[in-house]
Amino acid sequence: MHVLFSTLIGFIAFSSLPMSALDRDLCPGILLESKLPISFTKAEKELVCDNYGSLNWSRIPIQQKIYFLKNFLQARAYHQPSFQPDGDQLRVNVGPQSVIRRIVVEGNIAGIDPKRYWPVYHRPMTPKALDQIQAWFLQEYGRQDYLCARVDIEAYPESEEVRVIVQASTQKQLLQVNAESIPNLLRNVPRRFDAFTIGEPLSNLEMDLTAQRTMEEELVVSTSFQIKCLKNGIVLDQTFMPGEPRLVSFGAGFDTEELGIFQARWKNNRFTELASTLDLSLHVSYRRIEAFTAFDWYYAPIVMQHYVRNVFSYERQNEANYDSRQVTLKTGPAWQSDYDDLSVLIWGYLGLAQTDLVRGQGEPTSRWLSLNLHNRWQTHDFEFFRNDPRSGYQASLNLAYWKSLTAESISFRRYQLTGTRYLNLFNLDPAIWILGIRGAWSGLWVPGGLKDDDQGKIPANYKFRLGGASDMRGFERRQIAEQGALTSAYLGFELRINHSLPFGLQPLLLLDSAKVSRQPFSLERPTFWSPGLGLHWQSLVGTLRASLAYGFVEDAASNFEGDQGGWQIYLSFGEQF
Amino acid sequence: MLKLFKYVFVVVVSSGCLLAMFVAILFLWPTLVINPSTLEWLKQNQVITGVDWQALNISHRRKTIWQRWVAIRADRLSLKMAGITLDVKALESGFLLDLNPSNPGLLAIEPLKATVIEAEYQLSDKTHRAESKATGSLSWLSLLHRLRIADLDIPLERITLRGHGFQTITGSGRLSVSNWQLADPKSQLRIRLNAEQDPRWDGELTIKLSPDSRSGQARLMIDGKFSSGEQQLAIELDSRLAERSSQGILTLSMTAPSLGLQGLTLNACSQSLAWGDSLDQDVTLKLHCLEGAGRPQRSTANVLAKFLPELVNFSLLSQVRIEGPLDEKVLHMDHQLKLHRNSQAAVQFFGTTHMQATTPLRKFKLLDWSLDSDVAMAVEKYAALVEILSTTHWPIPAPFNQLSGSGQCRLIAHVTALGDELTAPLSCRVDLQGRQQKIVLDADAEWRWRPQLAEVKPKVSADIRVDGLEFRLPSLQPSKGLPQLRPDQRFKNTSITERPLQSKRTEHMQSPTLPFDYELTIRSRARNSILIFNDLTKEPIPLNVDLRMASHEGMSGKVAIDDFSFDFIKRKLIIEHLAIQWEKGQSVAALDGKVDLSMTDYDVELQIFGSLEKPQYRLQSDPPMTQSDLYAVLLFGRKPDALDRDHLRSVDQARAAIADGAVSLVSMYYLAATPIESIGYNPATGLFAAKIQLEPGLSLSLGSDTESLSRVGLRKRLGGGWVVDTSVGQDQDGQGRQGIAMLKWGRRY
Repeated sequence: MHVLFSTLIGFIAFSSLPMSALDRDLCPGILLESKLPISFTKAEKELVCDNYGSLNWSRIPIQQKIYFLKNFLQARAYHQPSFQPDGDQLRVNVGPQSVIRRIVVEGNIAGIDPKRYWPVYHRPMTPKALDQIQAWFLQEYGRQDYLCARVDIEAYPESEEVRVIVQASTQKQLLQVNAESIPNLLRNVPRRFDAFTIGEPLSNLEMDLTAQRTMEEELVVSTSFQIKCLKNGIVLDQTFMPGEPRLVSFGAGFDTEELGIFQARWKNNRFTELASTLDLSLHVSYRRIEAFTAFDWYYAPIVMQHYVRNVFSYERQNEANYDSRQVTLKTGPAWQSDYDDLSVLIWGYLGLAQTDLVRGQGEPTSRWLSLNLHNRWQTHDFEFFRNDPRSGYQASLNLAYWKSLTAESISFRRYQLTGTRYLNLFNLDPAIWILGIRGAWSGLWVPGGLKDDDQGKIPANYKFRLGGASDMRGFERRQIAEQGALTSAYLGFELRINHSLPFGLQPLLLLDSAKVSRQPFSLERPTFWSPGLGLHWQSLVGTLRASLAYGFVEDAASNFEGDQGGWQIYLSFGEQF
Repeated sequence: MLKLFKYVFVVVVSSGCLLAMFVAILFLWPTLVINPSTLEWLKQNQVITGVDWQALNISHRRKTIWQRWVAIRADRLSLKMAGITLDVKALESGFLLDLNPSNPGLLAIEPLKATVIEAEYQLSDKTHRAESKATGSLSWLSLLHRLRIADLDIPLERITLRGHGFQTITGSGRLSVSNWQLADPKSQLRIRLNAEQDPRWDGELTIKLSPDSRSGQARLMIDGKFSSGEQQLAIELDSRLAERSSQGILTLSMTAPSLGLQGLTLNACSQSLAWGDSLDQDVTLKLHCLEGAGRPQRSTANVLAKFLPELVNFSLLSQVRIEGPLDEKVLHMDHQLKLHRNSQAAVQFFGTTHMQATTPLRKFKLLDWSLDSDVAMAVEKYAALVEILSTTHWPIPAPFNQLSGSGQCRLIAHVTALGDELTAPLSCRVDLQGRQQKIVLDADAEWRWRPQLAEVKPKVSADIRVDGLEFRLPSLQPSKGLPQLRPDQRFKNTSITERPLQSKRTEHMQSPTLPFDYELTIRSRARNSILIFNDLTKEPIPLNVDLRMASHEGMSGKVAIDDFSFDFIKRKLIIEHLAIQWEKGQSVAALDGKVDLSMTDYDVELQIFGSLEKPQYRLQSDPPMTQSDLYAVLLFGRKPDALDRDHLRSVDQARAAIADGAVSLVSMYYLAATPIESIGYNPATGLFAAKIQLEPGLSLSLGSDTESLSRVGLRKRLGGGWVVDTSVGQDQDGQGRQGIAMLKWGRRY
């Protein structure tokens, strides 16, 4: 231990000593004096080294070498080199490497705080770094509806400062969108996905989100906007790479909850000239088998955001505490719209379902008629950065009335309120401290009260259970209230630290809590807790998450069936908080 | 009659007696006549003018019967004559006079001592008139041929030369002689002079004057040495002096470290000088030097001197003539300078320059002049020139320093009159060769200048015709990115505090003001006159250049590639034409191009227009296709229906970037010729990024946002329609989220 301590002290003392410049041969004839090794590309060496490249470039005058070396060193943030020619020899003292210590913004009409863009601070003052600063300011001004802003950069290596000169007069309104036509579709069909409003100021987030929606909905393979800044506003040109209308795909995946997964899908995104969509899919895993057919029918003869959504599905759920098979038919009007930076989805539908319970509490076979209302609100930034969440919120409310069609008639109401909020602590970009908060309140009740006999008549898959990677991560999948609760509440926190570890590793701290009840509109003791930690890896192919959480019950003495907690490990691929 | 005779006889005899008595008194007791009192009386009665003294003492003694020694001592002696003013504090001298009537003369001056002499010479019209009657005869020399001066040492404490229209010159000097005798060729008069104000100079003249009684001429030998700082001038003149002319040999050597010259030597110049009886008459000086040599300064600070040979040989024929009345003397100059070829020099200058000019003598002002010049500069050994310039601040850059050959420029100038426009045509021919490189060009230029119009700058017109220009670019490493060849102008050397806030953004680079206007045209003679060898195309790229650059109009014209086909990576490109055009007064270069892309099933034509900063592209095909199809074919060689989702996305991004002018010509070149891996474009920031596959396992990132390629999306394309997809989406009911990594295969149809 003593040896280890001494070694550590020695290393710290050595690394704190001022580094002296070392002489390094760039090539015969050029001696670089630099504290840090500097590597040059072959092309660069050919421009400064004698007898390195082709015969025609075999002898380079000293002045020419100095000229090129100045440029090459400038590209590496060495702005104050000195050159000492001595005959055919050239001694180059590269001087100090300039870093960016301060960013001054001139004409900062949108009040963008440059300190938010932390990655460039204390980084070498290279042309590339200046490009990044310029792009970031353009991005930020675009985010603030100044899409036509002009940003110029000046850098002062001696004082290690960067001046950003912004020329942005007003937030320009969107005048019109000129979109290409998509084969067999009405011209304005893509406007259904607009996150912006014509006549209102336009931000790049709204523009990008519109493109993202259009592509995610598979209307086209790709779409892009070109911005035309005019004196009185902005005109967007939208181009499409429509691709063929029908998509067939097969996929295979894995996670620790569903284990092996197989998916197949067939989708026609341009079923009619109003781009009604027919979607057939099959999902097969150990836990869940689902055959799904959806037809989004844009019925109106004009382009609008109203449609009728029709779903026919078969689903088998094979959970530890029940095994159900359910055939469902849903139909009803849907409407999607945007208000400012908020998008809203409302779908009201009538449902018919037949449930066969192979295992678990409830009638073996039951038929149900339901009336449902689904609402979802989400901010544009939440929606756009869904794959890399950093800010915004989403909330949804589902209300349903279920009535049994079987002989022993019973009806119940089911509601579910969920929400997720991301906070970019300290408002840095890219975000470092990301706090995620999510919660859910779910309930089921029977008008007039639920009799003990009725408990068994409600299919097990309609009740609520918690546990697993999607909520209580210290408990096994759906093992809290394993017999099913009529009320459940969940609140979870996750603090993720981004951009602090190499290789895209992001440590996280988590805390989940929940309560459940066998009675409607009430929560009983105990409280379930699952603190833990995890690791989030932003790999090239997606997000790999691992969590280790300890689940425990606050009042262990209470008599409640289900998982009593313990250490739980989850590994998921692609899942976000 | 007799009475008249007697009267005349008495007058003559008495006058003769009186004269004899005077002569006898003067001969026997000269101090009775020449003494301070009589001289003072003569001075006061204006008999003697121009001479003044405070105290004067004269004594004499007889040396022989005919010779008399006269000693003079004067205090505060002042002499004024012929514009010369001499102030002497004390003068003491002795003169030996020979009074023999058959051969009178001044035999000796010994000694002559003077203390504190101040001399002033005033040039004035009056003076000239007074001297205009002076004789130019050399007969007076005969009176002095026996003169001997033992020791003469006159300090000239202050010498002032004044004149109307001339700068007043002040200085000091010393006139010294040691045992000098005119008849003795070894005797010499030594004069030392120096000027006290700038330019300060110091010099010594040694004069030998030998009269030849038989020919009535004299031999004048002058040896002078002058120095001013580091400049030194040595003159040797051996001249035969006649009554109104002289002819001789002049040798001049000058060390002058200025004007690019280290030294100048004129060897054995024949010199002739002719003058009249009076100053009203003409004076003509002719100088003919067959062997002149100049040694250029070899300082690294003077780049002009670097071009000069070690020694410049020349000959000079010069004639200077002073004509006209005394008040209106005019100086006519006629100089002809011939530079001789020096085969040893790396850079040779040779040719003839003939200059004639006329100016008033009193004040320099060109009344009439002409200049004829035919001078050539030749570089016989280009490699030697490269070597010379390699150590200067203006070396010949690589790869052009690897050439060898020669070049020659010839300048012909001709001006006939002052009011004329000076035109100096210049023609050049350069023929340099090297391995895969050459420069062969002709150039004609002309220098035009109206000297009398000071507000009009001289104008240089040049027409350069390129017969052959071939050079090789350094090896390019596309996969590692191109080196930064130019300084990034965004970096400032000043401090940020030195620049005020909210300053105008319309700053323009202040171009340095040239002392002349220019108009330059550069043209390539043929299609293949200019070839650029590089690693990217197997064949060299031919350039056609037709550019015009003028000082007030900027650059106009075009640089074009015409009818050039080459294979790049896996595709054949045919450039029908691609031109960068500059219009007069436009700072932005316009593009105009048409490129045919060789496809298996389609003929695709890429039209290029817009500006160099923001190129625009348009695709056409035969058979016709939509723009989407065309871009897909261009980038991936296949129609969209044969492309997977990621390729289609790249096609769309490329289209958007190209439509926004975010794709540079270089990037477009790669996009058109190489397989694409992915393309990303952000219209808000204008950042474009592309990843292209140069060869299996070797990719090149292009564009301004290459880092973003790593964040292209959460779909990792594996090829053949296979992807790893981990994007998070809404679940089927839109009621929750789903995020699973899937290995997917998909196809649109």
